[in-house]
Amino acid sequence: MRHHSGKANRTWLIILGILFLAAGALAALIASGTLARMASGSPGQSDQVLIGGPGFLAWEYASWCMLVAGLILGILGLWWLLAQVPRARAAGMFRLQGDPAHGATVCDPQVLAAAVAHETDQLPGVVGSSVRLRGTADEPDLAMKVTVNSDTDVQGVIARIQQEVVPHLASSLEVPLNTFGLEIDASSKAGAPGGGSAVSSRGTVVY
Amino acid sequence: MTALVPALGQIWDVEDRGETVLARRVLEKTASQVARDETFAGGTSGGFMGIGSRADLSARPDASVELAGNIASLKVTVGLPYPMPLRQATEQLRRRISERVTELTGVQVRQVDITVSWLKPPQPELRRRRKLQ
Repeated sequence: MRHHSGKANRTWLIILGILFLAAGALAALIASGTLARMASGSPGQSDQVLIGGPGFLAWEYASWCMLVAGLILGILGLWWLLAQVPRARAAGMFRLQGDPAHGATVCDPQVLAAAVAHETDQLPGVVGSSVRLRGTADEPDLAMKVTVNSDTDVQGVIARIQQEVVPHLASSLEVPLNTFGLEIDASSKAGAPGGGSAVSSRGTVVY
Repeated sequence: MTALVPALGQIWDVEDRGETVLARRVLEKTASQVARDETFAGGTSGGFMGIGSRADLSARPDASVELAGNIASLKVTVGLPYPMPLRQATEQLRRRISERVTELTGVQVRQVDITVSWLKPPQPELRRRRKLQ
């Protein structure tokens, strides 16, 4: 299971949206002359539009301030860019205790994943499997990749995973799975005793 | 408090009669034995200094005790069969250890921390030859 930086994206898009909206409104007011009418009077050709602007730019540390502001904006932009990289959701120990006053119960999700993988490997036609369990004990996310023999009834394997393997995990954790992803990879690896090239195909994803 | 010892005709203080010390290891063994005998929990067996050990539901789970006076806090590392409702099973284990350790040793168990270190799925039936009746 991967998650994206949706919250940061929404926050920054809102900020940029407000800024651009304000800039757009300002531009529209200037272009229509409304801003000029709202002001005390229209400036003449020789009048200074930005009062005090050259004064600020003439300040001794103005260039340094602009440099620092640019660096901050650059770092924020880079952070936002890196936040777009999808990353796996971190999984800590699953905490299963009911009443913390009497003690904690913890279980490594890899322990549960190993049990799920072991049970999956016992299904007929399954060549191998890898299981990742993430999230929390109350909202577990299960991702499975199962490699089956190309001669196997894939629908039968999927049905047994959905009707046996997944319910066993849910009953062990005593909560329904938050998300469940299953990728089936077909391979002739185990079904070709005479050797030959193994042909594999992938792409069947069932959610 | 004083006590009368008629055989010797002397009066001994309780403090002079000696003291009983319960080693921490006794509590640990008691807890792990209770976990093995009275619950579904198992431990590990075989290996050398923890290397190469294997999951074994008939082995005693590891237990460690922190003792403060007459109050103990236990940490138990167990393995359980799979599938099994883990919250219920560990709650039952916690309650059983607390009750039995207190009952057997007189030490009050304040809390039991449980770590599930492995789960043992059912083994597939081996395809062996069977003798016909």
